[in-house]
Formats: sequence, structure tokens, C-alpha cells
Amino acid sequence: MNKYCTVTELNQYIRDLLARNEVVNGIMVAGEISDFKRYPSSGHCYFSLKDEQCTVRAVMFKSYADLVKFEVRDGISVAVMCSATIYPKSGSYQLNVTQMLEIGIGERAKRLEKLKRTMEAEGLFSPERRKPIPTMPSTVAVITSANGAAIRDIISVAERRWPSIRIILIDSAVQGVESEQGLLIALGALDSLGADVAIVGRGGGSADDLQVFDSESIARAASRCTTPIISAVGHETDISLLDLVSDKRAATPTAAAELALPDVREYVSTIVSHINDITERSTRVFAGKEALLDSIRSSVATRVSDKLKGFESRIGELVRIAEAYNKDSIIKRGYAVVRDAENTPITRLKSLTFNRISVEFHDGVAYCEVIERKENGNQ
Amino acid sequence: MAINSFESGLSRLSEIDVLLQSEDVGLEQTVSLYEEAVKLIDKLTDELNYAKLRFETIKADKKNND
Repeated sequence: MNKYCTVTELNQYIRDLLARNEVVNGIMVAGEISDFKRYPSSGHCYFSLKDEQCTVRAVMFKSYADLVKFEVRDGISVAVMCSATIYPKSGSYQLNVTQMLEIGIGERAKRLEKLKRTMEAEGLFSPERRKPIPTMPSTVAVITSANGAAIRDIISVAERRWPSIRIILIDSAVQGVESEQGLLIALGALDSLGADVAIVGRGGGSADDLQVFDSESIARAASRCTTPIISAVGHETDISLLDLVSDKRAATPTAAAELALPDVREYVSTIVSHINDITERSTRVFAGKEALLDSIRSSVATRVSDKLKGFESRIGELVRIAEAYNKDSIIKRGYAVVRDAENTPITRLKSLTFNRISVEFHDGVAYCEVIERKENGNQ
Repeated sequence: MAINSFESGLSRLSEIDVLLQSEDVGLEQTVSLYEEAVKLIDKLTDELNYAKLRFETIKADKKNND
């Protein structure tokens, strides 16, 4: 070697050293899988193997991964046949895995499963415990890191959907050693803030990064809160303990903000549509009332007119009857009025003297003398 | 406009309409009923026009504010 070497030379040297070392080649290593990822394009698998204290990165290339007959996922314990090497580009140490055997659920996963069963038996996951998420909140509390992507995503959703919302950020570490204590303090303060709903979570990360959301004390603290909580732990597949006790689970902080905040544009369009409906209905009501008034007006007029015609026709009838008894009408029909010298009508033969009488016709009067009287035989 | 005054007016008009069909209603009562109906119809038409005017004003204000 020269007085100094390049990084590339050093990394290659270490890799060669490891390659020549019999102990770390073809060795069986047991551990728990975490951060498992299989890239669909290449088919290669990348993950970490860990135990209580330590962790190591590992890669299993497609040709070997295809031979594994069980579902590889986070939390299971495996034994792998592998060689230790370093990836020269980054200088990081990793295991090249060629075979994998499942040896059970990992310790951490076992503990979590047991905890889930206990809390479920206590009724902490029961749907009846879930508080409804308010449909129109005025204040949203967000428990997350002030420096994380989650709060930025939530603010961006709020600006778009419900700009008048008040957001209270309760800053807390969301990974690492301080995160559990920080989240406990934040959850403890939550109910005193008067928020209508709270979002607790963070953006995506590795299983280890999200580990704090499986903490029993955090899940219990969240279940004690009276403020409805939406959990937003950035992962799609696994369900954290916090998800199980929360009133609603969202896959990401963005999704949580969308659940918490109504879309103002939808509201406006609903209101506009209600106003249009009311206007249309009112117009129809006015038209109906107008038509009703018109119909009554015309009906009353008809009825009164019919009634008056009825009265008129009765009066006409009476006039005709009266007419029939009128003297002139009688005379016109061929009768005449006989009067004595005093002009008194003579209605009986016996009243008739041989004096001068007058006989009134409809067109004039004749003055006559009585020559003879002859009573009717039956009188 | 008093609550339901329009509706009670309409109901009185319907009553008058039925009464006018009755044989028992004489000439004098017919004229009184007709007079009452005409006055009531005028009053209700005024009320309806006023309500429509208020409705149109509110609608126009709403449009201007949008």
C-alpha cells in the first residue's frame, strides 16, 4: 500500500478481506426481520436483521429470493445463510443472503401481539369507544414534530380545504429515545387545548422509525383523551397500537387532514345548490298561490253571476205572472170592461140597469144602452 | 303579514265559494258574500305581490353579493 489510499481502494480492500475470511462466509445468522422491502422491478429484497441489541442490513438477490417459500415480512424470526461483505459505494457493511428459514415470530412482534390481545380484552379497541369526528371543526390539534413533513402536509391540506381552521401544533419528537416521553406529554396536554379533533402521527418511515407508535403507554394515554383522535402513522400495511385505540385511522398525515377538515368548496357548492333549490321551490309556491287565487276569483265570479241569473229568471217569471193578471192584457185577449154611468165596473148582470153604460175595449170605449138582460139558466 | 293570514284568507274564500252554491243563500247575502270575496281577493293579491317583491329583492341582493 502507498502512504495513503483512496476510499475506493480501502473499501475494496475491506471487501476482499471479508471475502477471504472463512468465518463470515457461509455463516448462519438468526434474527428478526425489519424494514423488509422487495423492489418489484428488480425482484431483489432488502431488509434488516436484528436482535435485542444490534442490527445489520441484508440483501437477498432475486434468484435466491425466488426460492423462499414463505411470506417474508417484518417481525418474523429467520435464520439466514449468508456472507458478510461491504457495499463499496457506501462502505456500509451488509449480509448477502442466499437462503432463508423461518423460525417463528420475532420477540418484538410476539410482545406486541400479546399487548394487543390484553388491550383488546380491556375493550380499548371496541368500536363503541370511538368518538365521532366532528364534521365542521374550528380547531385542530396536531401532535407531531415541528420539523417533520407531516405538519407541512397538514397545513397544505388545510389551506386548500378549510382555510379558516385554527391549527395548534404540539411539537414532539416522533422517533428516537425522546419520542415516547414527548408524545406522552403532548397527549396529556391535548384535552386542555379545546381542540375539536386531534391528529397524532408522522410521515412515512422504517418500521424502527415508527416503533414508538406501538408503545403501550402512548396507546393508553391516547385512549384516555376526550378529544377525538385521528392516528396518522405513515404506513399503509401495518396497524400500530395507536391506530387501534384512535377514533379514526388514516394512512398518512395528508389523509388524516382530509378526514378532519371538510372541503370548503364542497360546502359552498352544497349551499349554492340548497339556495337554488329553495329559490326554485319558492317560485313554485308563489305560482301555486297565484293560480289558486285566480281560480277562486273566477269561481266566485261565476257562482255570483249564476246566482244573479237565477234571481233574474225568477223575477222574470213573476213579471210574466203579473202580466197575465194585468187588465190591459185581459182586454187584449178579447174581454171588455163594462162600467155604469158613475164609471164603476159592472161585474154581475144583476147590477146592470137600463141606463147608459160604457164598454171599454183595448183600443177605445163604446157608450151603449142596455136593451135586454138575460140571466144564465144555471145562475 | 301575520302567520297563516294568507292561508286563512284562502280558506275563507273556499267557504264563500261553497256558500255561493247553496240554494239557501239569498240575493242580499250573495251580494255581501261577493263583496267580501272581492275585498279578500284584493287583500290576498296584495299580500302575495308583497311577498313576491320581498323574494325578488332578496334574490337580487344575493346575486349582487356573490
